[in-house]
Amino acid sequence: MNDSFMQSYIPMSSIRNKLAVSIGKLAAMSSSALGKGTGEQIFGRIVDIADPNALKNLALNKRVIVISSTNGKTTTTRLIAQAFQKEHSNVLTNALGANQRAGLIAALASSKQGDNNEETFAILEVDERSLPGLFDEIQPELLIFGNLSRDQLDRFGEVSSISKSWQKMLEGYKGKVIANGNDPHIVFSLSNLESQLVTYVDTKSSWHDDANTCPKCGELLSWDKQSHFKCLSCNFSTPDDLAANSNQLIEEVTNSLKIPGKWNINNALLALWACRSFGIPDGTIFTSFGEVKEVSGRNAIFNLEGNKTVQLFLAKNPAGWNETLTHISKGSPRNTIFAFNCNIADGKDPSWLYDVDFESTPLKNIIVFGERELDMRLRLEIAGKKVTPTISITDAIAQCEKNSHTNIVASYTQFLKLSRTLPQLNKEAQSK
Amino acid sequence: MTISLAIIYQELLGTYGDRGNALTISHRAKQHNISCEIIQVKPGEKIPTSCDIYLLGGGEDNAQTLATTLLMENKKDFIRAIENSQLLAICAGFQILGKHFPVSKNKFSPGLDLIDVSTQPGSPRIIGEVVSKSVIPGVGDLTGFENHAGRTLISNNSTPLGNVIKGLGNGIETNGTFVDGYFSGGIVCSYMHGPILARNPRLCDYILSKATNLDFLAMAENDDTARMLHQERLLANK
Repeated sequence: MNDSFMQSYIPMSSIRNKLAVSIGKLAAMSSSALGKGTGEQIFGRIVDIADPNALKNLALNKRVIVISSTNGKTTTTRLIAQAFQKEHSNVLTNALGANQRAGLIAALASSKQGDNNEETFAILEVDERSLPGLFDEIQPELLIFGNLSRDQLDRFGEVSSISKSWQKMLEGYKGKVIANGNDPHIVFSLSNLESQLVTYVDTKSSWHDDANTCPKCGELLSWDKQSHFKCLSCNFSTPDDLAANSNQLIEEVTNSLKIPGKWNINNALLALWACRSFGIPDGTIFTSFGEVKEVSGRNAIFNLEGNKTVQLFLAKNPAGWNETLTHISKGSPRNTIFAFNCNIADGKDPSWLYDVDFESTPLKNIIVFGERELDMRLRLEIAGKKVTPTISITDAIAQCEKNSHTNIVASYTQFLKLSRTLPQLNKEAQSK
Repeated sequence: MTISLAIIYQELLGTYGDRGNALTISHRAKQHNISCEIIQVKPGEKIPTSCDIYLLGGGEDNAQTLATTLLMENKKDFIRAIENSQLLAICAGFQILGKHFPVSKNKFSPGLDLIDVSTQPGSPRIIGEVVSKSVIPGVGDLTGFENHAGRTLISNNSTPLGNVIKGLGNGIETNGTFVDGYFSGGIVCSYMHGPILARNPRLCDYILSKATNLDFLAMAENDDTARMLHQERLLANK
């Protein structure tokens, strides 16, 4: 693990802080040595327990930018950080997606304070549920809000409860916001802010199933083909002053990206307006977007034995699944592997599989595996698909013919596993 | 043979994959050589009265209140619709059929008052796997996933859908046991998501039998994916 993030914490003078860091460091090293993760989480937790003001103190004197949403926060964070690193020498971020209190403490402690006199930017992805609880401690000056959709309802609760908690959190907030203007829950959470603080971006996001009633008055929302909403009763609607995303701009963003999918264009549009608000020139932004080829394993391509290539996709909830399916079913049909678990981090109730439109997605040679393979298999059979069940990724890949390309769509805990297994299989294939 | 099925206000009462119950019925009907026409009744539309099966699903608070208002406006049609057909109501849909349900702290919304049940607010939220022993002969154990705050009391004269073995079901203890849902011939109610019919093929067959006057429960069970999932879930929750 990187030592510098712990050393940087030392300048804060109290004995308690130093002691907290020492204990945290020891625990983190033990955790790494035992192979129980990278140590950042352990470090963050221990420091937090030993010094309850750690998060607040670490965020002090840093320019904090927060990205939060149900989908796309890790990618958006990465795109913004990539551009900021071109313009500024002190940029820190939680690139691996550790987006709760402990992860933020570890990320904020990773800056090398004192290297120069330049200001430090902290580009932080924050879990949408955790954000209200730590908002005042980190004092963000810019917020980037993507979308709010149903996700792990057994753990996170229903969508409207998040937007209500955000609205409360933002009372008195004077910083700026870049927000998805096509998401009623997001727009509602910002409805008490002074309008000049908010830049609404027109993302034309297509998932509306969590937004059929008005968050303000509870009556029906109507949607037009441009993904703009309007309440038929109280006139709550997509804001009029959406940031101008001209066709030319969307084309430039699309062309600059190496990561696939319509959803990543939306992530990039939010990232673009965030970078612009800090004066980063468009040329620099597009160049840095193009440098991002994968984000923590998302969309990574691996070359395996038998000249088989596989691309790994993470899909966590119906909004993400529908976008991913739309993407992978474009062009000539490919093999598709679905890797599916229902652990705590996946959400323990897979009912939402029936909110995913498998019916109208053409897919070839479907192979499934995972702890809840049967739930996935039944869902696909009900959608009229023929499915081959297997017991592991190795077996699944063995089912794919030589010289073929396969898309792997994985739930969260399967994705974490595959992010470790696939590079290993790639390495083995190359060394043969 | 063709049957028709109406999903009522999927936009409002479809938060927990509830569409899956319709898809499962259609899939299972096809396995029995019956075709199934699915009709989506959108908010503001008239409820058709001639369908064989009607479905009400789960929804968030705002959506549940709006769906109730709309059903109240169409109450006559709705009563006619379910008179000689099958109705499956899950979670919020179950609560709506009763006398009242909570909408916020100390505030209740009147329900349709079609079944003798009433829902109180409760805490903590009931979340997790649930297993019950169904009262319907031949259906056996039911498995699902519950996620609700309300506690629903069914009257002494009413029958629950099942006696809970794991989980809390309606969330109110009576005589030392918990029960899930409500059952009276044509009306099946439950707190089970999953969706319930995907995870419980025998319950799906019961509803199909009632809708077609054929007896699918008497037939030998296929060792298909649905049955395997059902068994796997029961085993995982022993």
